[in-house]
Amino acid sequence: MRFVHVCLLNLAARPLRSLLTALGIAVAVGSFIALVGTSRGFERACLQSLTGRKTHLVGVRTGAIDFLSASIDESLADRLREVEGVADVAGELLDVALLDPGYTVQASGWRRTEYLWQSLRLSAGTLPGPAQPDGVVLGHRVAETLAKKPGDHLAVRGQNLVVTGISERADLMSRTMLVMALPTMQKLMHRPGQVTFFCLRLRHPEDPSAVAAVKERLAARFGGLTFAETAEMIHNDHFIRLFRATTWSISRIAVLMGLVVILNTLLMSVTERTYDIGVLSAIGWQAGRILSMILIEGVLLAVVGSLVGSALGILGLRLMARLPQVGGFLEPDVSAGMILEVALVALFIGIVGSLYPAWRAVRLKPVDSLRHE
Amino acid sequence: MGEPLVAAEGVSRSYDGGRVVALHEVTLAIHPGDFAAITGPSGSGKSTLLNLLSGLDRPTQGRVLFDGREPRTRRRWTAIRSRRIGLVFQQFNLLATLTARQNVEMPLFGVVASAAERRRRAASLLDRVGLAHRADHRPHELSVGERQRVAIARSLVNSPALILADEPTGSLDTHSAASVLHLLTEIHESEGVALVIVTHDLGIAERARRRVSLRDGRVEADDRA
Repeated sequence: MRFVHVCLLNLAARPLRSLLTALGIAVAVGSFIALVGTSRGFERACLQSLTGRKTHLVGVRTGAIDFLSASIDESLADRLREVEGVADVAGELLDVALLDPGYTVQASGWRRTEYLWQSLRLSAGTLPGPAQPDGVVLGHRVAETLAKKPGDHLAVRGQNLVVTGISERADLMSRTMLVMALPTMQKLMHRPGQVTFFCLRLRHPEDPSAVAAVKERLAARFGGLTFAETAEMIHNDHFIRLFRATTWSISRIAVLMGLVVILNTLLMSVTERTYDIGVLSAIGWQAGRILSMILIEGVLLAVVGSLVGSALGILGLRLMARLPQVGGFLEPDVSAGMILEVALVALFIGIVGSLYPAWRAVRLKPVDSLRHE
Repeated sequence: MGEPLVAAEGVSRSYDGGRVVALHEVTLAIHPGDFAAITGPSGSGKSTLLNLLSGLDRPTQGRVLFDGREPRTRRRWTAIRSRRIGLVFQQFNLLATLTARQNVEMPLFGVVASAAERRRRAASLLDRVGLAHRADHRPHELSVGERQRVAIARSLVNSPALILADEPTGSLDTHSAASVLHLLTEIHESEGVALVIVTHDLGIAERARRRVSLRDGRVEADDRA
């Protein structure tokens, strides 16, 4: 019999308690992965949505806390195009639309001549032509969920639109968005002449100094707007920062709950085994060995809990992403680094949760422990 | 007689801030190869004395020496119990989740590094106490007599110089008690292990070469056969 075998036998001797402890850790780990994975997935989807459009800089209303409700005069696009180093400009009116079966999508309006349309690859149908002011292109996921094909009609905010094409672009936001002509979108959202932000393509995006120079020129001429590279804009967006902070806080609370669960369970478990620990001390087990035994038990529970929790977290995220109610905005982003991070946190929980009960156990005199039967 | 293996020098043990005195200035030396029975009525301090001689408890006054030195720390006493003292209890004190062989192996952790060697030694001891065929049974699957034999095998596994047995036959029927007593005396005689038995049973005490009688926490008599 090896030492770790003794620890395993101790855990196996109280199967329900061990299972519940591991499950407590698994729930904490799973929650952590689900929450952080959601946050990162959302952030990544936003970033991909912009970078996929070959957009180098984004111009937003300075100080706008709610990104979606910010309004900028669309006519600024022409003045932006005049700035040296700017190759092209597209104004985008972006909002969230609730479709009939309770399905939320990102709705965008683009001026017909803008470069953004070139980023769409259609798997069916065509882009809305000048003669189709109410034409709309659906992301393929939206089309699948709503069972729409080119030629079908779609009601958005009470207005009847005609599906002209289905987009096949790979990123989440494009799969789950619908795009229409800017005037149509402005009419739907009651925001005539307005866009939410500007997308800018630069002549030399590969040259950091050229990018910085363009940003300086833009900042000097357009005081009411803030220009940032796409990743920077996503990273600093108030809504995403708030989302990130919220998920960070909740995930840490979940981890803290895991710590309390394991501390409570191990404390109960060690208290129940006070007599056994007295026996071990009586037959010559040093305090360090008893301490190691309890710590290893905690670590084993943490390892099992983190493995199960990781699997549950990833599975839960995938299942959630398939729900039409949330699928539009959620794509799991679970990296090996995140799993490693949470595994280390679980290990820490296992060690910290075991330390106090272990210390309590070895502190007792053997004769007192033996009276505990 | 040479240097004692373990010696209590004027040890007292009191509880509750001195209001309850379990042992009062007891002096007693156990030498290598001794066979002593400690007798006395309930509450006379027999088990308390045994706990002090094994380092499971510490005296409130006086000192206990082992091999001529006073172990001052719990760590030192634990080290002595792991290599020099075998303990046998009335309630066997086997770990319920482990098999007989695993119970016997337990004192070898930290003493014998090889798992195979630990297993071999435990199997050999179980064979010696006549329980080779019960090695993979858990305590609840064994009779009380068998459990005490497993406990004796466990006490011997580190080849101790001293066995301290607290009412080893107290929970056994007459037949099992005789068998366990025979086993203990046989081990004492064949290996020269010093044996100290705490007992109520005067029949057992008569088999010992030395009888220490306690009353009210004091040594009333210390006779050698």
